[in-house]
Amino acid sequence: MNDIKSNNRSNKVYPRSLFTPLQQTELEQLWHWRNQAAIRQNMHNSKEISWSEHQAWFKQLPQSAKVFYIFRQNERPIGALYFDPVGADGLEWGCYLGETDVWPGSGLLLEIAALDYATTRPGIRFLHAEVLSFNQSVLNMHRLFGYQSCEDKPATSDTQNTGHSVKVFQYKTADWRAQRSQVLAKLPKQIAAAADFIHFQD
Amino acid sequence: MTETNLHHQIKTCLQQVAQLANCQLTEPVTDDTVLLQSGLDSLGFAMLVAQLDEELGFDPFSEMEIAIYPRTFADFVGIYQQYLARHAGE
Repeated sequence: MNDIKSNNRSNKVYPRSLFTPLQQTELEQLWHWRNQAAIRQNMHNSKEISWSEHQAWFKQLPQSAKVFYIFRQNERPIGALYFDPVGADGLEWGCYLGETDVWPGSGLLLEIAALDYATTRPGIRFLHAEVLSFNQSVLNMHRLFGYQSCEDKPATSDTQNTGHSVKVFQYKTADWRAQRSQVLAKLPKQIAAAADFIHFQD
Repeated sequence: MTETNLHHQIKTCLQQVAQLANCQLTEPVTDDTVLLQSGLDSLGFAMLVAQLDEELGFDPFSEMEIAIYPRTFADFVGIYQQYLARHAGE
């Protein structure tokens, strides 16, 4: 339960979406989320991750160029959003919701947050996304937002994903800057309203 | 409106929205169905809330002073039942 009184707009309240850098204290929760079957099945690597592998990954995170955020909804951690550099001027992103009792439409907020983040990073010209070909909900969402389709890639050798391909998308940050209002206008109105309360903490 | 009618209305609306949003629902959606595993995607849920706002005249998720979000279909219906009672008293 979270107090959300402060987020009042025209007598309506919307969730606060705050993205904070992953901390050591959140590592165990993240590990449980990442190992859920519903999350693993949509990953390039769908195998369970051991606690020691997870700790080793976190240890090397500061040396990598990856940026990893925890998605907090009204202060409550509910998911993850992360970015990896692609070349000198691109970012690849990924995300998941670890909790199941979330504001309806939270996945759309992650989609908006990723584009907003990339658009406000100096020197970033495009956002890159890869989606397993059976992940229809994310494919639909990327198309709705106006991602450009690129050439498919074969899936990894991971046995669970055999027979599927990887759909590749790009979104130019200049296009998001120009189209953001029109894209949000196509969505249910509460999504555009909640998008006003997305913030990143660096 | 009775609780049974509201339950039926929400389930019907969910099925209609799933079709519109091109989502394949896990059949059958029961009270215990976890919403995020029902087959309806994030856009579908947002559309469902918007459609119910049209039909019922309120969106409980934009009226919550204390945020309690639903995990299952029964939780979702329960929230609408609670707010329907409040609106009926206005």
